[in-house]
Amino acid sequence: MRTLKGSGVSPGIAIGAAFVQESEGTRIPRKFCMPEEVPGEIERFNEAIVVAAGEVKRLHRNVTSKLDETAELADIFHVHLSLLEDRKLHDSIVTLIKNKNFTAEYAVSQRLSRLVKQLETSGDPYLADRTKDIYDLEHWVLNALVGEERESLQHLTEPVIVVAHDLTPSQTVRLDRERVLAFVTDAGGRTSHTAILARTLAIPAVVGLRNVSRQVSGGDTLIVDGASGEVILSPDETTLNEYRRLSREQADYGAQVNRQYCVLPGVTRDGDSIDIQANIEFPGEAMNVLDYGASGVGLYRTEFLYHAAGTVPDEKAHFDAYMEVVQHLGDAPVTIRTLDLGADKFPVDTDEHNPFLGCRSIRLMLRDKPAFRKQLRAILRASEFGNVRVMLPLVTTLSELRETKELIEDVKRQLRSEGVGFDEQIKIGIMIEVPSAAILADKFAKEADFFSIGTNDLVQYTLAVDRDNESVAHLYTATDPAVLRLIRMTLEAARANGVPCGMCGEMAGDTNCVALLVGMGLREFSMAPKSIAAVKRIVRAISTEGARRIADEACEMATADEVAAFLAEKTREILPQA
Amino acid sequence: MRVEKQVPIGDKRGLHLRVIRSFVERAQSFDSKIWVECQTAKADGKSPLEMMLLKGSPGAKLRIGAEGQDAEKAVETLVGYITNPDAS
Repeated sequence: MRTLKGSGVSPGIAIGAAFVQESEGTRIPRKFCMPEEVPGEIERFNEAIVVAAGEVKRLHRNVTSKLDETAELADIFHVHLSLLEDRKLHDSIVTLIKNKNFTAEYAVSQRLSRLVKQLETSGDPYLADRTKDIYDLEHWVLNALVGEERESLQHLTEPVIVVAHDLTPSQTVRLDRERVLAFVTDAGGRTSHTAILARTLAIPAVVGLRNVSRQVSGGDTLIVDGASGEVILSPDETTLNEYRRLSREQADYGAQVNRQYCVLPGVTRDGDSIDIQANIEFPGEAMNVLDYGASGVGLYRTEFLYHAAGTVPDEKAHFDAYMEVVQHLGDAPVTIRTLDLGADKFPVDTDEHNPFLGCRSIRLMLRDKPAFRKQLRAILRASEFGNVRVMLPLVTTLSELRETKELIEDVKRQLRSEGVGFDEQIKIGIMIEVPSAAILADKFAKEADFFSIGTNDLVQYTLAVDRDNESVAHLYTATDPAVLRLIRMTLEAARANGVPCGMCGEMAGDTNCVALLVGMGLREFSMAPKSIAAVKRIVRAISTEGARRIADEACEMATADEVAAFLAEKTREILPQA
Repeated sequence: MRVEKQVPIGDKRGLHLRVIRSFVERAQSFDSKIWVECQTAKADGKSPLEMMLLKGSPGAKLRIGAEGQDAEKAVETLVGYITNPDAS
């Protein structure tokens, strides 16, 4: 029995058998073949290369027909094709099949793993980055070889705990919730997209374990505690019984809290109304949003249209998704955020050395106006059928906002001339998630219809900390005094200009921060649906006056640790079992 | 015929994807065997994979060599390309 400690990113206790995910999501059915099967394996490999090349070409055509500026994207495909056609690579894999009796899949995987190691140990960060291309290559070829069984995670026959080096957002999105009890990974941090998805899907998860995937074999019994971040390998009977008991207790308590608080309004003890909404990633979640007690969708992240499709979505794909959400929400507000792509989410330009400071989100969309127009048209068309707002991510300057508003006006003109209906008064707001936006909030407030504070990125850019970097993860805290000042600045500028200001970052769903935020003047929270009941409970237990005092005291403190400890203490006083 | 020539990488982003792709395309159009050396590493000029493994940082010097009937033309073309990749 061994206990490992990582970051618990999605609470819940899971006990079950491990399913160790191999090389980028494709299980290799067989590693070795009989000598007489060798020619057949070589044949399969040759065919797979042809099929894979065809797939790459098809995807390339798909993408280039939809985007204007495709130089970089086209190059990625060209390089993948060149790699697929690389004779030396081809020959080295055939050699492995011939000399070592590897199956085609195993030979491909082994050769590419060795290549990845070469790139990673080269000491050159640019080369280390190329590993993404190799993984893609492996994905193409193994898919062509393994065929229907490729998405092994989608064909589980019994409930398992998935153990992997890392899970990409698209893999996480496709997890079969009925079969996956929990997942644990070597890599990743608290606010990585995989972690956020785990919480949204309510799958217990622990990330950042560094080398759990190497210590576990398929079938091993594991206990995962998604709250504490502990993973117990091969637990003994006593430990198993203890966790079984804990798991039952939590299930009961959780159900209790939910039933009680979902239907109640979010109102403080002195009568102030706090609007509590939900963050969603995909249309399927909209169905349950109102049941969870949300008054609307405060953030609909649209980039998962990319992850699920694996390709650039067209206007119809956008529109269908938005309509599904709008139909479920009725008159309740839906805030659709335009594509927040780039950096860790669907890297577009693999030549970027510093993607977080690069061409991403609104910058990327303003560079690819045809693609942007498609999304904007879809959002406007959907606005005819419900209560829709548009929100722009990562806005750093007023000119980005102005340029987008002009584009929206143009799209409106286009729709008008086509006789297509839309909400003429549709509200256009921005995420406040970089220091410049918070500092200049007063100017932005004169040109945006609303704000939403995106603490995930705001903390990152203010403290200059990569939220996915395990070695500095401890520096990333939303309750840092500098961040609090920026939040306060934003709320005050919004109030002075009569602009509604909400918060949709992880901080809004943190029960320890509720009093602080309400005390600072926040009246609109949006969070993962599962957090709503707990947050409502705290909202109903505080008085606005008391919250103000807590906020004032917290904002006087000088370090994040002091603030965090203070807030934890105050929250315990408010609700002893929270 | 065997020809070799040294040339600094002209692109300010070094030997990145687009440059590698164009270089390999050009290299493949020649019959000669083509190689590229950078510091201690050597790559087959017609293999995008091996080219990717060279540490081609901006300004680094590459030694481009070719052996065969069209070796001279090959080296001239490739050196010309590396010196100014954007011109093409």
